[in-house]
Amino acid sequence: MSTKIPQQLKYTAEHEWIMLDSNGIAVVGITDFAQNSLGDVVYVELPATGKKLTKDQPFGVVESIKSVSDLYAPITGEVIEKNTSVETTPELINTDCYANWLLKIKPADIAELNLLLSASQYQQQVEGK
Amino acid sequence: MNNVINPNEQVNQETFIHKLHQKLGASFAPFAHWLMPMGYGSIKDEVASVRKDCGVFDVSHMGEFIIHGPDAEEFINAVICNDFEKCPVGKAQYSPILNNAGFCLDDVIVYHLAPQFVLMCVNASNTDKIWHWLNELKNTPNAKIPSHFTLKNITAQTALFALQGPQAESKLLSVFTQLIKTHQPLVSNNHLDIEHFTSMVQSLPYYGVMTVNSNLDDHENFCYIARTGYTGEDGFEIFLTKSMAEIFWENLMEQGVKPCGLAARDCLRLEVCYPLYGHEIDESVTPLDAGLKWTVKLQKKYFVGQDALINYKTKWKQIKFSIPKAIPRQEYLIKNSDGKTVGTVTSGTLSPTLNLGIALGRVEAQTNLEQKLFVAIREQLLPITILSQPFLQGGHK
Repeated sequence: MSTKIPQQLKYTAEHEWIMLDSNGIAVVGITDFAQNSLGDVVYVELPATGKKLTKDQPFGVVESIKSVSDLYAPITGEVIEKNTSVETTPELINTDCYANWLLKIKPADIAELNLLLSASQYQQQVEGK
Repeated sequence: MNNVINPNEQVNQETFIHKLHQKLGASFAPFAHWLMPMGYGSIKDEVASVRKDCGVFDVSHMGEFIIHGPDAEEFINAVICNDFEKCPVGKAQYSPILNNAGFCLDDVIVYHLAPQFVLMCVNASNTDKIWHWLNELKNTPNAKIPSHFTLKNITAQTALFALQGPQAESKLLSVFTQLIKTHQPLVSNNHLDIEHFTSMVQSLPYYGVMTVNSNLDDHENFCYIARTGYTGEDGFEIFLTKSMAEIFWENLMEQGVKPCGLAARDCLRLEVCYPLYGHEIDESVTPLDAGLKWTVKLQKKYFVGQDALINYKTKWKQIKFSIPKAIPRQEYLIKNSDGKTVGTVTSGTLSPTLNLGIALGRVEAQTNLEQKLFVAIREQLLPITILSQPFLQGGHK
């Protein structure tokens, strides 16, 4: 099974992707590997605008019929926006997990982005070493 | 190091048709030390197929015992708390099995196949436990428990398929027609006549059971068909000799029956509020605590656990509730408006049919159900709507 791993994004070991937009805001979502493992996504719980997140701490959940998966903050920062379309229509994550982002975060420390995995590092992780 | 099997890890058993599930792209997970198909793609689609059309589950992991002999019926009646005297030949009955203290060891279905011949189907997680329990009861001298019968564990030779949905009867008949056309040993050795078979299936009532094989001692050619199931829809549970498992399954697939896994099975049974051992019932509760008072026939002559249940003061009561958006899960707490915990969720899911979070829960027996109650989901307290009827009725006869 070949999983989609866009080259221009960064990744976490917890199967999230992250990219910095032109305004320096970090956009976050879950990867193709994650949405495929979950199966039908039926519920998403995201933090409100203004909430402060700490790197590696859980900030919300993505749920399939069978299970609850915690989402972990890839970086420290403040929630600028959450994707309400995904909360209303969770299946969008299965349809296109890269177009349908979950959160926009204002990073507290840009240097944390260097701790993330590159596309090829993430690929190595999901496809076995 | 990779690929080193920990010698202490128990290897999970595979069902007889594991390779066929792999071919269909099933995703697997361990369940009761069996590697079971959880689903084949979309759980929502599998649930919809069972509610509207026909799906099939490979539940060969479950345990099957034969109780055979002059005291078979009396033994069964002593082991289960339901009244087996109300279960004539050709019918099946659901009941918990209790220990001497009245707590639930398992919940089972007993099928009265013939005089002095009973099939018991037990949960996969309790197969060994109940097998030992039955043997202990048989072999321990007890004036109230007879012993003139044999016990046989046929789990290793028995495949079990649950065919469920409004089209189940039609699909079952089509499969057997095909088995006859292709001269399968099961049907030829039993001299199966399709017209007679069709009329028997069509007239099989809810909880009725029939045998395809006339010689019940023949363990190579057996097939028992019961109009039972765990989904609330019309359907059948088909016990058959393992040598027929592949052909039977492939014929079902050729008839367009949808393969369904344990994830869909859990949604379906929850939608109709059927209990699952390890969730609604376990060794810490009696059936009276778990919403199963209807299975306890205290006026019977005798059953194991009867003494403990006479004058038993219930500790818990079962509730069924829904919430509009989020999903309640097992072990989430149920609280009152003072924030005091009054119970826990025993099973929960998103109902794909109703598009609601649904759950079964256990609350303290004295809890006033007129008050507002809540389920704690992460940091939120969400108000629950308690129902007096199951979420769905289902189409069973």
